[in-house]
Amino acid sequence: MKKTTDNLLVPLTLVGKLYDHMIKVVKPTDDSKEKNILLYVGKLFPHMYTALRAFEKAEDKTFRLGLIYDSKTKLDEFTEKIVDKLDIVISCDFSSDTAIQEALAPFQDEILVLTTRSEDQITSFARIVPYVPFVHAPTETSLLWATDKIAMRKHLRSYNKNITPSFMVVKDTEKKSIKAVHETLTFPVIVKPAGLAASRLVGICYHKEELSDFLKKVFKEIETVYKEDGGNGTPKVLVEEFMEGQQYSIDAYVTDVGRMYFCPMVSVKTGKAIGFDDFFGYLQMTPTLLNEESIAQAEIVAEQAIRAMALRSTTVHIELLKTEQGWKVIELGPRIGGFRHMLYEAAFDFNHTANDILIRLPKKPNIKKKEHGYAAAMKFFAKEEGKLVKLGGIKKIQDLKSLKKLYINKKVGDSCKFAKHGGSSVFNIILVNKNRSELLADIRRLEQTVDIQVE
Amino acid sequence: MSRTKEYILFITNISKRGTVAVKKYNETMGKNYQIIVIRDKNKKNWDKVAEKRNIYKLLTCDFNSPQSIERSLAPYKTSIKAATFYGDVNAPFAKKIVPHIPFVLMPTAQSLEWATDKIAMRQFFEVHDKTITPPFIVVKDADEKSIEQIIKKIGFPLVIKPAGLAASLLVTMCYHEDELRSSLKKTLRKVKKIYLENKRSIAPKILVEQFMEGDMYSIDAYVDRHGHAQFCPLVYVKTGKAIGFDDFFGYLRLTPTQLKESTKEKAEHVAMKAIQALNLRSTIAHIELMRTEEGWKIIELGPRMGGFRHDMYVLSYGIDHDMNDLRIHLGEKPIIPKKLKSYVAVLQFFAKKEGQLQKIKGVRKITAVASLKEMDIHIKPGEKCLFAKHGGKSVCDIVLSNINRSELLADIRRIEQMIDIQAI
Repeated sequence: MKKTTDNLLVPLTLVGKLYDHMIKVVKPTDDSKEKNILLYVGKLFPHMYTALRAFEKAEDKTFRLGLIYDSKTKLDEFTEKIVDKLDIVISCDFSSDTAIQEALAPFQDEILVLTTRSEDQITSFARIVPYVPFVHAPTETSLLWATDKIAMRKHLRSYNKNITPSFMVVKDTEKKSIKAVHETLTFPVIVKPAGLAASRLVGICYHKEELSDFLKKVFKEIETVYKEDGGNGTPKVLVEEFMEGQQYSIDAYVTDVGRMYFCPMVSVKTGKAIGFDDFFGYLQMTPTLLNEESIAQAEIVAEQAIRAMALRSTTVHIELLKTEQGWKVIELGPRIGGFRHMLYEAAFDFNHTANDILIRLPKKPNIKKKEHGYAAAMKFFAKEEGKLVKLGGIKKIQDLKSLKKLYINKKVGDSCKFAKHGGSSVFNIILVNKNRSELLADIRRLEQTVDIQVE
Repeated sequence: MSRTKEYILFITNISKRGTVAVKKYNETMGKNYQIIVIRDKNKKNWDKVAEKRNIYKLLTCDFNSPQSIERSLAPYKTSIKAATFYGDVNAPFAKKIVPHIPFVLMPTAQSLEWATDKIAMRQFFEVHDKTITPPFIVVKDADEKSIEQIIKKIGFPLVIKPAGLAASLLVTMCYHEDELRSSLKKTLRKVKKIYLENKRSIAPKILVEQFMEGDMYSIDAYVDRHGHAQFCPLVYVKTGKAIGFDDFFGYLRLTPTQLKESTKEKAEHVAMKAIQALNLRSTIAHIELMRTEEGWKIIELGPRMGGFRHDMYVLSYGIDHDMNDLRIHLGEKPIIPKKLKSYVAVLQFFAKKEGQLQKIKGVRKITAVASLKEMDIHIKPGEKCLFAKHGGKSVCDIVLSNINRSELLADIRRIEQMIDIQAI
């Protein structure tokens, strides 16, 4: 039967209504669907929430703060504290394409910024990036290069072999592998499992026997830690030549067209410098005593590292070593560095969390270089591994003039392990003072007061 | 005494290495120099050592009496061709000998005095070039006024160093006012006690200087009679502070360093300024330096060989430091081979806690370490272990050498893991 307007199954007026309805569903028309969601992947900490609300006020805009996280994982205790205050919370199965697509579909046109804060969330971030195509973000591939210690070094070396040490990849503990390391690299070497965050299972080996023993330990523990931490892929261990020098770090903002803005440098004293056989970041302090020339050279090397990873539209945290042969790159991450928001806010009075948003809009970040004071972040570990039996001096250190924030991570009875064995600090502390000498004095008082006992 | 005899004078003592150096010099240069040692009468009897070391003549006199010195030296002084001494501790004795041997190549008595007085030394550095030394102040008490001056002029962190005491004895770091007050009082009390024991009637002076942040190095130089200096290779120094001790003893000394040529040149340039500031001549100078972000700074200078330096330089470059000491005092050019023979490290181990030494574990195992050259144990079980800042000495010193730097570092690591000094 030939279709005419008279014999339609559905009256024409109704077709129009249905059409209007469909348009309403697919096209945001009301005000609530404005592109104003700042969507964080995995974690959003209380200090960031405060910083973002302050940013909102400063910009005279209203943002909706959102969090998307993997439904198979538990939120960390800090994110738990503010999750109820967030405007949007999306939980979905990150291993399922459809689950991510379905979860993000209603917000796709409303997401203004997609970002993440933590090193352990970068792979999740990379997973989400393809589903949010209308925001400025790094490519999924560059994110993956920057989270894989091995890929990172390959890219760094091919970009400029002078900025990174020689390395090898070890997949087993066989004699052949140890021999190959011994013949290729110069001892001491640093052993770093690929795909694990921070200084987990990172160790220094001065000779073949030590390397063999340490690798055995690493491969044994690595699978458990991978499971706990959501580490990536099959166990691969990076072995690289140990570089001698003073450690620093710098955070940078990279625009969508590759322009870079550098934050002030931070000096880093590792556990190794205070007698631990461990590489956790014991003391991080800014501003540093570096002169302008040294800083400029460090920024050149940091820029090369960012370019090697082809990163764009992101904040980058670069760890550097000042050696006799010049600045070298230890590692970099497409994220804000640990404690950096607090350190920069206290020492230079700028909002690092907000700048991470600005760079993704893309807008020029607001970096201040004038020193307002000195800031330090410290991590305290027990001198020996064991069960925590006493955490003395905590009450006393609260009287320190420089104290800004204290994070106690362990209580009596908890197990204390070194960072290299997958442990976390007993407590972290942020200290701030207008005067560097007074800050150093408070660090000294703190070191003399704290009494961490294990058995 | 035969008129043909010629002598080399050692002030207070001569090491075994010193006697070997004289013998070697005689053999190489066709000389027949005999060794004379002059000692203060208050020092312990040295007859047996002198006999063992084949010393030609051991002279004993009262170093506080120029007449006594003159009397002792008179029969030999025209035939003394060179004079030398070891260590900061003997510099004040050398100072007293200098006027009696005017035709021997020695630093002036005055420059020896400046170079052994922590305060005078810094005053001269400051006058010569204030950029090479940190700001400092001298105090004699722990009164309110002194504390105020220290805080105003120096700031924190700072280092307290008693003048006139050797090495790192009573050297204390202070980060804040409370620490400064208590450390200053404690230091003054202890220095007064030491002075009393040594019958020194002068009032103790305390040097307070700004703490410099950086890496520590040292260098030995041969300064000729015209003030020209030739430098030995730099030595990297890791102090106890860098391995978790609250003490400044030299934990690890390592040579050659990883420094670039241009960096070494800058270090030598600053070291030269320090030598010139103290008007030193005809001596070995041991200069401790700090590499800071603002450039090289002088920590201290001594008109003597650096500790362990003979072993370190002979093993690393074949530089005979003792022989060069003789040569510089005899007006000859020192011989400084440049070709690297091996990497050398010296480790000094202290107990982690002060107390009575129970046992040292791992000593036997250490003897099997490939790089081991020498191991000296200074403290026996039952004896007291003190930190250097409290006047203590190391429990054990170890000299290591290896053609391969990595192997040397590996052996240092092995030793660190093997040794276990237990004190209660």
